[in-house]
Amino acid sequence: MSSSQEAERSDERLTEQVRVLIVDDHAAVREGVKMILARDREIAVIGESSNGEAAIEMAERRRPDVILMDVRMRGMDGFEATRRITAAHPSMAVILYTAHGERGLLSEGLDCGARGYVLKDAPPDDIVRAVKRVAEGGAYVDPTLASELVSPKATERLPSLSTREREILGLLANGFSNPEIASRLFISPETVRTHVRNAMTKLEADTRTQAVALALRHSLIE
Amino acid sequence: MIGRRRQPLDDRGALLEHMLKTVEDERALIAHRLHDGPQQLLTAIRLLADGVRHAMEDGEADRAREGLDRLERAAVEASDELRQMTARLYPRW
Repeated sequence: MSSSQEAERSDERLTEQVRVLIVDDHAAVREGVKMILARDREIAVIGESSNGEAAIEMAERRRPDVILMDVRMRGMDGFEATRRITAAHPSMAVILYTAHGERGLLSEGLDCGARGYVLKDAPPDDIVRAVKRVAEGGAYVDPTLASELVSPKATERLPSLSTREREILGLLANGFSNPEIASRLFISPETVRTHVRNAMTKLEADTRTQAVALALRHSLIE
Repeated sequence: MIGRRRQPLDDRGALLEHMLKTVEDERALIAHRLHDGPQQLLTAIRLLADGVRHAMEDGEADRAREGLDRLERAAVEASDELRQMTARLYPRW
């Protein structure tokens, strides 16, 4: 494509506003995001929803270009809503807007079909930047998480262990027993067992030793 | 003999495990409520403050005033939620 054609295309883009749907179960957060987006004339907020189900219905009805989606919501969460919306409407770009910056959640979100991932403690201008980037067909990942995507560790499909699960597997790797881990972390031995069991399921490990070995191999623990 | 003497110890162990579990459940609930309430409201306050500053710079007084009203409500809400949580944690405070 010649540069003049590209220029024409971007001029066309400027004449239309990017239609945005905001999904968050907190009205105050929706108001805040709306206020941030309102200052850019190329962006129009065309609707708000407070949960996943309502977001799917609103996406169907109002056909937004971009959906800014919270992850943890009562009822259907943002991952499931993203999965359904992007399956039904591949042209709609979903940006996950969340307080959680764990690599596992980022991977899960991108697996669900999201094209953007913005952290709630990022500078507000990043929301505007992310909306414009995905509206142009690109992708946006919070700069503090972007390095995770290009690190060699992330080239393999990594299971998403929680911070607690990683912590406990790390202690197991260092030879601590369940009761020792329990007293060290001020939690019950039963909870330690639950975390270990969950980590084993995620890692598809048959034994605790195998779980620790897999976690070490994937650099999920040190 | 040994079996009889071990029994009270096992009971104490079970009780301790139960207590730890209860404490941990309570901690998880507090973490969840802090995340779901005040933390979200503080996110909103930050966004609204940024929005108000830009509205003022753009000379849009109505939008700025609207943002400030919303910001104030979010601060009151956050304060109420924290007060309720504090009362639950230690009623005398």
